[in-house]
Amino acid sequence: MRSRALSSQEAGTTETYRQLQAIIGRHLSALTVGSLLGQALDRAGLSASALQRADLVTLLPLLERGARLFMRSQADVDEALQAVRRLMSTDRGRSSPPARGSAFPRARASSSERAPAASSVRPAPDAVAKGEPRLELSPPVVVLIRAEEDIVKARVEARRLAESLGASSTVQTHLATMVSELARNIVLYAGAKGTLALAALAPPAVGVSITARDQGAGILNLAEVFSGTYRSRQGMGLGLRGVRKLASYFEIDTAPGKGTTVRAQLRM
Amino acid sequence: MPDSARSRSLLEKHGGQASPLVTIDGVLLATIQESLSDAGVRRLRTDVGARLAVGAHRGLVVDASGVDTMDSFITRSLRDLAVGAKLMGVRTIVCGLRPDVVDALVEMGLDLVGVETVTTLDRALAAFREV
Repeated sequence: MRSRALSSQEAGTTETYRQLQAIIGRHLSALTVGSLLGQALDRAGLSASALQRADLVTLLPLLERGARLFMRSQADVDEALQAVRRLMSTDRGRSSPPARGSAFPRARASSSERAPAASSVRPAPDAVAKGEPRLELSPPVVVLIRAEEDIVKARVEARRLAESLGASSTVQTHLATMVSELARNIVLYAGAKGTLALAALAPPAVGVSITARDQGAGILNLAEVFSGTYRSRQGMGLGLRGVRKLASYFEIDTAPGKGTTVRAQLRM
Repeated sequence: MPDSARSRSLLEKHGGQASPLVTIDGVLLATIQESLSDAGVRRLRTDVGARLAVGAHRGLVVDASGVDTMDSFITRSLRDLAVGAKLMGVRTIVCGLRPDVVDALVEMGLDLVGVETVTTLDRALAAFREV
């Protein structure tokens, strides 16, 4: 039995959580481990301060998705998941209901950035209906769009994510173009107050989802914008229609004074 | 003409990117860098306009081979740059558009109407030598 002082980050976490940290930490940096575990816990409605071994059954598929996204090879993913399964089987007796309402602190663009299902257990990947447009991992990347320079930042993140998923350079360019366009709209038309979130689609789908959200004035003449009769000075009509043309899935939600949310997907 | 010194002075940083402007054989060559910011685009247009206004150039070549993403704003800016130069009486050729970028433009329904384009920088410069 080793005894050691807990760091401030470890304080308030359960032994199971720290064991998970150690397992995932063999393959990823501490920062990525924190992000991966935090997102998985959030999705499962669990918290680091109450995580028990019995919760691992729920957590495993979410960990698998995160591991697939971040780890360098399938062998790493398999090894990590194997270790988690071993951890599960070492103690079947203890069980406690999963804690609701995550107490796990993590940086977040805004409270509304989370998927509404954050407090419920997500279905297994194979239980997911076909054509369901909102399947995604928790957004691993959220770019705050506050100034023009953030457009470039968003493009860079888009390419990085697409590349990590093995996208061709054509797909990378399509994605970067869509992201650039949506980020620009936030800068030009929403007073540079918004976020752009990028997430890998959950398997078996391969691709990226983009969610561009702003608290601007909303688009008042949506029909015109998409019919092609409208064109702003900077060419927004062309831009949004372009994004829709490039997208595999496109949805826009806007109302006067309520801001605009664009959800798009690019499947590979 | 101490063009190297002049182009160095124009290699000013704006938003982290520099858009080098050099003169080759009386042709102004503008090279667009990879992660072009909006400020960078605007700065490029101003810089090119200022250089062309002097009236010493017989042509403008915009080398876009470094550009990895062109959205509607950048496309429009590039077209405005070329059309503006043409209005100043300077023949303009855009070269080096990457296949991926072209693919995205076509898919989006964007175009560089009225802009002369060629594949490579070599061909762009050759086009001016032929005249």
